[in-house]
Amino acid sequence: MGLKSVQNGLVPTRFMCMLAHMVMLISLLIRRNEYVGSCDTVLYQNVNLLNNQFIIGLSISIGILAIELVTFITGITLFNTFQSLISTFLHSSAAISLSIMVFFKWCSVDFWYIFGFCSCIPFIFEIIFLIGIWLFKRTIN
Amino acid sequence: MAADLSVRSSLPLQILLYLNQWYYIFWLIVESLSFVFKGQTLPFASGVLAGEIILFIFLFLLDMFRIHFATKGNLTERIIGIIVSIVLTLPCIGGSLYLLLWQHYVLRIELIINAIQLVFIALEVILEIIAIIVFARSNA
Repeated sequence: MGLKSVQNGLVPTRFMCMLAHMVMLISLLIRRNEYVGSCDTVLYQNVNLLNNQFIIGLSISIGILAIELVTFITGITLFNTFQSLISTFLHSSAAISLSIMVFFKWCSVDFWYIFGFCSCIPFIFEIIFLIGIWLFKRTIN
Repeated sequence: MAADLSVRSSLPLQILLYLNQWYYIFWLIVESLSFVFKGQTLPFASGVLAGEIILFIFLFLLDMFRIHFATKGNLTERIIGIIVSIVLTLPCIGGSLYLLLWQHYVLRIELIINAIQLVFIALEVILEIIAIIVFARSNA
């Protein structure tokens, strides 16, 4: 009974965290000039290159998140408790750190830490579970 | 009768509707906070802000009714519930477009959350039409 209600709560929690991450990423993409402009001009002299790198990072991040949302909504990892916990934790921390990035106008280079820890790790776990389910015919739970 | 036991309700539609309910709670919080922000910092002509707040609360209720009818129609395999929900979709699209484009002041966050909501509505309409076709075939 208790475990069942926890599992039912995990699904919307994970979904909301992924959506919050998505909203933050899109809002960064719309106003990316502010974060490219706040970089140290002595360290990073080529602003154009920085801008392109930031666009690429944000687009890959949005794409990865979209793939994760699709595998989540189609039910492949919908009731996987471990993946839900990892995904909730990392995506919520991504949303919080991206909002700190908005408030304090971080340099766009610092985005790559958030990308590595909070976008790539849940995606890698998602892919591992996908391979496990499709190739090795593991059960969904 | 034995062959008629298969379930025709659409699971993807049901997942989408369930998640959309949670999304609307998120949407309600963000939208009301953005109205608080706009009312505190930006100048409004008299009555404009009140009208927009009333519109947004009615839009929330209308969306909840839409989701409720679609859920019941999908689970009981009745076409009429899904048709009511598709009819209710039209004012919902209008309200979302109003908040997205024609509002007095459109914040960046409102642009994003209403665009996501329109994506949800589009996916649900597609799946609802598929569900209508499936139910109509099985009844014939």
